[in-house]
Amino acid sequence: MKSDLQNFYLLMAGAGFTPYRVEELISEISKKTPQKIAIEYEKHLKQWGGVGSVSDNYYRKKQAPSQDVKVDVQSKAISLIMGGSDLTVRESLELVNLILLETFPDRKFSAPNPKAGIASWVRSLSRTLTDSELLHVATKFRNKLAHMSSNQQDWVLKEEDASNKTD
Amino acid sequence: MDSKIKKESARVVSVLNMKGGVGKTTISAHLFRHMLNFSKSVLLIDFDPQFNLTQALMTQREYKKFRDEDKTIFSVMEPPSASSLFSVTKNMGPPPLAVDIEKQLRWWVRDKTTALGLVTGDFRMTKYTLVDNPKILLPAQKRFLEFIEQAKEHYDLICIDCNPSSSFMTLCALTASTHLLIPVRPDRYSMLGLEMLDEFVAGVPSIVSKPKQIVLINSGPGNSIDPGFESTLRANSKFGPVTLPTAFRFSSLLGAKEGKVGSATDKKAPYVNTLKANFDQIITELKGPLGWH
Repeated sequence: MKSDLQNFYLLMAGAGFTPYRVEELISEISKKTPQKIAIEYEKHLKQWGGVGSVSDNYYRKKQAPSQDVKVDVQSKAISLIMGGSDLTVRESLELVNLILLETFPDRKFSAPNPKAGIASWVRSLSRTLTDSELLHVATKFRNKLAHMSSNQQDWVLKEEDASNKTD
Repeated sequence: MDSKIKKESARVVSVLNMKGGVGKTTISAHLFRHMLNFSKSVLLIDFDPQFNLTQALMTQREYKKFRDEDKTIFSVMEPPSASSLFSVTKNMGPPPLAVDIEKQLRWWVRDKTTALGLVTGDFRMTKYTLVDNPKILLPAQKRFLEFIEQAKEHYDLICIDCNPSSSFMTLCALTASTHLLIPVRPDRYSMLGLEMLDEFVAGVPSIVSKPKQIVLINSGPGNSIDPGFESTLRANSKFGPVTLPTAFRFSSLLGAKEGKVGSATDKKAPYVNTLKANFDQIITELKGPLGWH
């Protein structure tokens, strides 16, 4: 894969820039702050097909978003299955498989392979399940182990009768 | 104004939970603006008589102009001549076009069509909570549904910010919706509000095509989600598989401030990029349930 800088060279070459003009351009860029360049670039980006507003509030975009905003669903599912469980890998996989078949009786999933490990199977499941469904199955597994239903006095969300499920 | 005819049917998303204070208006005001980053045109409809969504996105002076020109959601329900507190005229004619009454908040540079529009709210909508006989309201419901149908031609997504009650307005919104976005705060009442909404949707025969449910956890101040709450919700057979992995993060940028209107992420302020990244991630996750792959 080409780096951004290599792509930049290709763009310059494609636009017919001579090495001398590239040198001039770099010299001009070096006189501006990165923030100023980002703001000017964004203006051009908007003209190219972006969004306009009454106030025309341009804002500067930082390259790297904060890391904690995105949930790594696979890691979270693996941690729910492996964390705090005394079960062996084989036992964990069997129980997850049981929950899968019970939750989605009409769907087909790849069979778990204890030798390949839990992480590998979770990755393969994520091709069949949506992120929300994967977390649902992993949380059901975790709850089953934690016996969370012991507090019968509390108000909880009702569970559907499995025999009434249509999908 | 040029009309932009869409090949794919627009999604109509009602933002609703029977519990109040779960962030419906905050989510409507700030999250859907990020659909623009994915080249989707959005119409926001303020369907709550308290019209907080309108107050969040436009100034009082701007709103007065819309109100004086009768360009609010109330004009969708009834023509100006029909305004009477306890009655609704039967033959009211067609509703206005969305493009004629919307406040254009953002537009596409390429053709000046609306990227983000707002149909402003109106306190007069309170009348629909006062009329006892639901049959009297049928003409208003018909007008609203016609309005949504024609609006679907111009936008990719229509977001209806609902009020938290099982009122006539909620029924109108649910009948028009393809999807329901249900915000839940990490507290038990908010979660139990999910069930009430589900029962309401299931129990109303006039909602023939039941909207697809999507649950969004609104983490609230402190941004901490009780693990017990999350495991109960995610393990639930009905709501777990439709709960988005990423939670809507609380930020002081989202709070209502005097003299400040507009989308939170258009402000130049510290931590705005964290908020943008959170919203972009939620929109990415929404694309699946909305059928945008």
